[in-house]
Amino acid sequence: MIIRKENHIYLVGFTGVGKTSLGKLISKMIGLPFVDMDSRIEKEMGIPIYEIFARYGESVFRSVETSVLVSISKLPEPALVATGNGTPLRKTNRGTLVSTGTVVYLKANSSTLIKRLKYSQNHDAHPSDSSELLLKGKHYRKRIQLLKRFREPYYESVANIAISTDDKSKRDIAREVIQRLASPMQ
Amino acid sequence: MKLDIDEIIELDKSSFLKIVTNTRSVVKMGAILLKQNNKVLESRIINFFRSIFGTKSEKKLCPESLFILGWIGNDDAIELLVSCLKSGEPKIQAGAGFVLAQIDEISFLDLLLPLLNDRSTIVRGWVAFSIGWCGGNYHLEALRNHPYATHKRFKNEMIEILKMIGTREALEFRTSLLQ
Repeated sequence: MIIRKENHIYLVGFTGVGKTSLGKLISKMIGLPFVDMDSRIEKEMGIPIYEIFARYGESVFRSVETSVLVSISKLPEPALVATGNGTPLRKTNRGTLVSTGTVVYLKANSSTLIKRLKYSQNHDAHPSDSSELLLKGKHYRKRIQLLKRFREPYYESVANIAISTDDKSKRDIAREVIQRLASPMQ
Repeated sequence: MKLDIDEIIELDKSSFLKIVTNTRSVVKMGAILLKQNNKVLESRIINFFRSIFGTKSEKKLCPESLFILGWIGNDDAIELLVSCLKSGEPKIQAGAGFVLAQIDEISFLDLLLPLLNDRSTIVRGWVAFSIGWCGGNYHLEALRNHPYATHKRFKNEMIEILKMIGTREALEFRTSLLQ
């Protein structure tokens, strides 16, 4: 396998695409430690992400996220990192991602995302805060599309590899990610 | 439409207008902009928008075309987005409101809140979603004390925003509005 040993692997993509669950699976398959940025942030702040947003607002959350990303990027051993869905929004974070690792953009169309978000809402013991938030209120389909359109270019701009996750099983996506990472052409 | 940096930088106004009337092309252009960080291109795009706002062509723009100014994100782009809030063209106001909230909803909150009382449902809907998405308890006072707080349209959007914020305080406030 030609995965570059000196670099981290960052998974980026919209809420519901499966960064955390795929990250765990891929890390097992290739033997790299797995780091979930959102969990790190919650640990650092001592409260869940929705509460950080509610109490302090998005800009405070983004500042904490930036410092957590910097500390992860400096880990002595390479890791597989599931980033937050808004991590690439900040220019400084984009710089950190591209300079310290290989970035894998996990893509999905809006209907796939909605299906996964709804599944997570109904089946996970702790559905992600952003999935709860995205499905709240009227016209959520339109809103997911809108937010996705605004964020897509941020993901695209940092990606070394982009992989569609539509109509694929987790294991198939994981295999594809590993195959692409191992390819010298990426 | 296939796009690359060389093509975009050479585009004339009418070709450029074609891009910004198509959502898919807008998103593709965003990735190029963010990746290249090309100041010449950014300045050309800002000038293009300046030349088009307030003209007949403005009506052809899709709301997502305003995302481009957000992706550029420099002072000139933000100044232009702020001026768009008073455009009078709903698609432009909606797009600009959405983008400013994504960039920094706290700084622009005073400018965004009056749009919750706008006649246009697209303007109200886009801005309410943006505030609700980013929002937290720190928004409650601004909503409660806003001069439009008792106006029907504003109140309906507030109810939606508070549901999205979803904290205990927000939901209590929402219940009081529904009574």
